[in-house]
Amino acid sequence: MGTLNSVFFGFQVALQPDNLFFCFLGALLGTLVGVLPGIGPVGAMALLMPITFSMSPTAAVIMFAGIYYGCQYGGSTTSILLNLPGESTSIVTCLDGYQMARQGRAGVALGIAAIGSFIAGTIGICGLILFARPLTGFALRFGPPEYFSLLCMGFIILTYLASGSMARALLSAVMGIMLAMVGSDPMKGIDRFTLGNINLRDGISIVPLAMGMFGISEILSHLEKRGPVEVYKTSLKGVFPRWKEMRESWGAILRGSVLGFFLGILPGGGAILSSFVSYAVEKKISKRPELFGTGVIQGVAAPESANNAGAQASFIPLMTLGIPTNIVMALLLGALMLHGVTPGPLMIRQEPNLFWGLISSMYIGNLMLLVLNLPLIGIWVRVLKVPPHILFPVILILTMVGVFTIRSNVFDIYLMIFFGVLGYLFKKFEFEIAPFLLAFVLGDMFEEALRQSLIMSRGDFTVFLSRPISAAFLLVALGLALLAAVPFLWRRRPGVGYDEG
Amino acid sequence: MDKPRFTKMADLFFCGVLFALGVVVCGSSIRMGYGEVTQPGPGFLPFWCGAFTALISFGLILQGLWGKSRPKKSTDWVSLRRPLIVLGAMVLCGFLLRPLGFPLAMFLFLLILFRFIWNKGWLFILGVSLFIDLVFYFTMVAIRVQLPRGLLGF
Repeated sequence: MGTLNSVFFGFQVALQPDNLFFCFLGALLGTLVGVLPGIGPVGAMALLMPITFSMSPTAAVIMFAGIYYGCQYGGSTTSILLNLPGESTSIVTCLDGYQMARQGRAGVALGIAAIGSFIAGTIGICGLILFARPLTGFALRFGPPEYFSLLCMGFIILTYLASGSMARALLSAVMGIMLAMVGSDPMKGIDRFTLGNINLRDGISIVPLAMGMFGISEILSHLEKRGPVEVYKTSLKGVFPRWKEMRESWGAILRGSVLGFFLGILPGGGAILSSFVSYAVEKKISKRPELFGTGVIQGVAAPESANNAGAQASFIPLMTLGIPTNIVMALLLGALMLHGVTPGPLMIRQEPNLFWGLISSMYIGNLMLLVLNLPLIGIWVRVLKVPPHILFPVILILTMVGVFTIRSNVFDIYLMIFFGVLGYLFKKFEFEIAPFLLAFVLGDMFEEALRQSLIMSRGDFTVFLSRPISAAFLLVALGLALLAAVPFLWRRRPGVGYDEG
Repeated sequence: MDKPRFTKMADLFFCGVLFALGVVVCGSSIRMGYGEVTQPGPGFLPFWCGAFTALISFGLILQGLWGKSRPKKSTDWVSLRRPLIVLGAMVLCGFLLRPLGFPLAMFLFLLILFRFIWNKGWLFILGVSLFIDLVFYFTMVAIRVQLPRGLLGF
């Protein structure tokens, strides 16, 4: 099937009424959780995972994808109006978006964020269509050593880009791998670190872990603060930017989209890295960089475009290599596995419905989001006024019910509480949660790849260097590790601080 | 104890716990079967993870003692009051979920939150708790989510 035919086939799948409905639901929920501080796409997806059991895998993935890219749109609303990023991917948007709101240009800022996100989303989808198939062919050359080296590179990138100490981020990642070892050993069947508890024999589920580390810990952190959050009172009229503003922004949107797309493909990359780098690039190439941070429209257009393109691009490694590059993708991988679908090089051939249906649904979802975020922006602003004493208890009950319903086991609630405390402590002591969670998800794959590589090479570690693809990945990882090791450069490390939740 | 000092001590304690965890994991991994490089056993990767954890956390402890490493966000026992109440309420709710059933356990959970976290009046507490509880209960019934039945039989 040619690419164009495949895309048409994808639209046929995506336009089926149930898939269309779940695409809309995902986009709507994504915008909602993006707007609301305290619950991100990870929490929302973890919460909804039990509900997807009765859905087809295609519908479930379409909905989850909608939540993810919907969040990128929604997150900008709180950044612009409250100076409080609804999503970590919108942190940079605060810098100029909030200043624009203070100048009475909140409508324009929200408008350009939505338009930029739409254009970037479209570019991202085109890239996905163009790059996914060639990458699939490339991925077929991967054996255990290549997977091991790729995962090593991903972990190093992830820790290198952490906002705080790299040592702490590395420790988070190692602890994530360690936690993935809990349960039966896949090769020998021996129980590992189960503490004699039968509930841990199957390992730790991603749902209580993600809900605890992101949802519960976020609420606990919010509860420490006192006093209500005020929405900046500004005009929301004129959300459609004028021609002059569009002319000023189009370069930033295009640059942000392309940059965001390529950074989104990297393991450890994704929407957050894209938004930070694109903002830095815009500032660097601007004739008046000193104006950035005072309400420059490019300062909103570039990161908002980049985070959306990055979000779309992060589907590529998952779909072609079976490797999630960020936590949201990790959860998506979990959801696919629960439905008996294994992402990887053979997915396009084995699950064309799901693959092309998902890609086409993204385009439809982006159109829906444009409608949801431009004319209906007033509704989302009203959502921001839900008081925390109503919002937080509702989220807490949702998390408890969501976790309980997966196995009808109270133990999972306790597990979630434990991880909530751990996530809270991680935040307190500046350990990054994202490397921890991603390492947890990839831990099994990492161990399997390492053990298989050593068995096939009879204990010869040069197997990782004698194969060109594997050696290239390790070389990048080593380069980054060396960069971080040089104290001078350590201080200049471009930390972005993940919390893709 | 002032906030920064409290935070620093707590950070050191946390790193100490991680160090101990690393050592324990190393020990357990050897017992589990380290294997050989040609045939790695179930304890092979956990051993190295444990060793790495112990090593890095030991480094962080040393850094903390020399005063070079200190979390920027300071905290104290007073600011931990509300998070601790929420955690306590969640544990209690989990404990009572099976004996009391979903509606009663959640109602109790909401009562605790509204009373001890947000200090609301009893009329508000009872009214809003009942409303949220019923909305949840009927939504779960509508989407056929199996919830524990308790004392009341529903």
